Amino acid sequence: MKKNSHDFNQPTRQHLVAILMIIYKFYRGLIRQAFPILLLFFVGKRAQKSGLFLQVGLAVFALLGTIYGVVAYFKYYFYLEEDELVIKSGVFGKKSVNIPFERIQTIDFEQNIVHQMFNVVALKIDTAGSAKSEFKFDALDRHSAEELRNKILQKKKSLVKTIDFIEEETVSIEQAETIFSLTPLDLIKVGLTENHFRSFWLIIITVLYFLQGADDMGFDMWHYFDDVDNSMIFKSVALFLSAAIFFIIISLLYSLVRTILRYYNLRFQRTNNGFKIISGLLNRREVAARDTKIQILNWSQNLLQKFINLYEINLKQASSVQVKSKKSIIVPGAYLQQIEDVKRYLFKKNALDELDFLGVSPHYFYRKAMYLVLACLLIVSFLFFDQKEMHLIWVIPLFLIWLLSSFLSYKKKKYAINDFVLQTNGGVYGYGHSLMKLYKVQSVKIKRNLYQRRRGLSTVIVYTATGGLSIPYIPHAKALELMDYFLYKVETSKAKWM
Amino acid sequence: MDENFTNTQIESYSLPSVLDVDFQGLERDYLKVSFIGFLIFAIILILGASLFRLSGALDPYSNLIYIPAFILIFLYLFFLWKGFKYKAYALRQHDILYKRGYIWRSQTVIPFNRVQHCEVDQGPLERLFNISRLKIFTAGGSSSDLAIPGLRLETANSLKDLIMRKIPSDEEE
Repeated sequence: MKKNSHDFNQPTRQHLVAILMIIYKFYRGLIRQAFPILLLFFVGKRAQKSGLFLQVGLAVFALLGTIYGVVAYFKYYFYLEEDELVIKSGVFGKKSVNIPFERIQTIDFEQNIVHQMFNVVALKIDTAGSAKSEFKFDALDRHSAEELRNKILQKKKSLVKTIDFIEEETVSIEQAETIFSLTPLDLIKVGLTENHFRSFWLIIITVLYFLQGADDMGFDMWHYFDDVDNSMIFKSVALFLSAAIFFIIISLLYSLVRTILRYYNLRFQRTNNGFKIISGLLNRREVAARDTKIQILNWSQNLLQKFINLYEINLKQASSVQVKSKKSIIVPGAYLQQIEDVKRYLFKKNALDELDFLGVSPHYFYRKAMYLVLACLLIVSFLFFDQKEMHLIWVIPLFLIWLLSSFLSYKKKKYAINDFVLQTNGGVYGYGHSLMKLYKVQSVKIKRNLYQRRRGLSTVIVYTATGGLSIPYIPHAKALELMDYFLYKVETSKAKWM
Repeated sequence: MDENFTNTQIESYSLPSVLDVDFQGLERDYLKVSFIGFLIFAIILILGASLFRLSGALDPYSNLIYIPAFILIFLYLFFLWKGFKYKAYALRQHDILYKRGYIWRSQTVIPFNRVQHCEVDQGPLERLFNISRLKIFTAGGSSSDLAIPGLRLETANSLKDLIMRKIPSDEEE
C-alpha cells in the first residue's frame, strides 16, 4: 500500500496480512465444525494407528486452507463510488455488497496480536440495516484505514447535510483527552471484584460440557471419579471445603486473567463530540461513541466493588442490532469522580438538578414474596410426599435468601424525573443506576397484571434505541401522568436522538 | 445539544392525557380470522394425534389425552374472544396508541417523530376477510414495536400513509 493519499475510487485490496486472517478464520470455522472428529483422532484409541493418515490429512487441509486464503484475498477488493462503499468478494461465486454512506453508523478499529505485529488494523463498519448489519475488513494498514474512515465520514457528512442540517459533526482529526486510565493496581482490583459467580458457573459448565463431550465420544471420563469412594468425598467436610476453596481460587484466577486480557492498558477518552475506549492485551479494541448516539448512561457496583468504592460505567449506544455489549462502552474500575466527569460531558449544567427519588409500592415485594411462599409450599409438600423431610433443611435458608433478595430489590428500586432526565436505581446486593435524557425515548408502555389492577398499580416502561427502563408498581394515576409527560417531552423535542 | 431550549414549567394536569382518548376497536372480522386460523391449526393437530393413535403406537388410555386438549382449545378460544374487546387503537396529533390484554393489560404509545417505518401485512386467511395488520417500527427494537391487527386494508394503508407523512413534518418544524 502506498504511503500517501490513496485513491479509494480504484478497486483496492486489503493488506497482505489479511491472508493470514482469512486462513485463520477458515481453520477456526473448520475446527469448530469438526471438533469431535479431531478429538477422536488425537485422543482416541485409534490415534496411534492412524498416524500416517492423520499426517497426510493435515497436510492436505493445510494446503487447501492456504490456497483458499490466497484466492479469497485476491478475489476480494473494495472501492468507493459516488455515495456508497462497494465490496466484491467470493471464491466460488461472486458476491457484491453495497453499503450506502448514509447508512454507515460507526467505523471502529480492532487490533489483535498479529495486527499489532504488522501495524495493521481490522476495520469494522456498522450499518443501520436490519439483517446483516456489520461488515469487517480483516486487515488494512493503519494509514489507509484512517484515510478510508475519514473519507467515508466526510462523504457521509456531505450527503447527510443536504438532507438534514441539524447534525453538526466535525470529521477533522479528533483530539482526545484522557479522562481515565487503569493503572495495574486498579486492573487487579477490577479483576478481584468481578462477578465471581459468573466465572464459577462458567468453569463448572465448561468442565461438565467437556466431560460430557468426551463421554459421548466413548471415553470413560467419569471413572476417574468412581475411583474416589463416594463416602469419602461427601462425608469428609475437609475434602468438601478444600474442593470449594479450589474452585474459588480457580474462579478468581479466571476472572483476573479475563480482566487483564480485556482491560489491560485501558484508556477512556473524551473526543470532540463523544467518548472512546481503548483496551486489551492480545486484542486491542477501540470503541467510539458519539454523544448523540449514547442513549443510556449506566453505572453499577456489585457487593465486592462496593467495599472499595469501585464502579463500572456503561455507555449504551444506539445500534441497529439489539443491545449487544460490544456496542456499548464499558469502563470498569471507575471511581465516583469519573462518573461525575461523564455526567458533566453528557448533560447540560443544570440538567441533573432537583432529582427527587421516589420509591415503588411495597406490593412489588409482596407479590414476589407471595410467589416465593407458593414455590416453597410446593417444594415442601413434594418433599413430604416423597418422604425426604430431611431436605427441608435446604429449603429454609434458600427461602430466606430469596426473600431477602426480593426485599432488597424492592428497597433499592427508585426513580427520579426532572425536566431533562429520567434516572432509575436498582440492584439486589449491589447497586445499579441508569440515567437517560427524556427526548431519547422511543416509545412508552404501561403494563398491568391482575394483581396490579386490583391495587390500582401499574408498571411503566420507556424504550430507547438500546433497551428500556422500567418503573414498576407505581400508582396507576401516576403512571398515566408520567406517560403523558414523557410523550410531551418527546413530541416537543427537535433534538436528534441519534 | 439544544442551547436555545426554553423550558417553561408545565403543570402536569395541563398536559393532554392519554385518558381522554377515544379508542377505536378492531374489525369484527379479525375475531373470525383468529378463530378460524386457530381452529384449522387445532384440527390438524388433533387429526395428527388421531392418526398416530390409530397406528397403535399409543396405549388405549391415550383417549384421555383429548380431554385436556379440548379444554385447552376451549380456553384459548375463550381468551381470544375476551381479549378481542380490549384490543383497540387511537390516533392523536403526535402519536399512535394501542392497548390490549384481557388479563395482562398493556398500552403502548409511539410518537410519530420516533417511527422508523411502517408496513401493512396481509395473510391468505386475512385476505379472504379483507383485513390486514399495520406494523410500526421504531429504533427501540422488537419489544417496543407495534403491530395493530384487524384493520381493513384501506384503513391500514391510509393509516400508514398518514404516519409516513407525519414523520418528516414533525422533524422540520
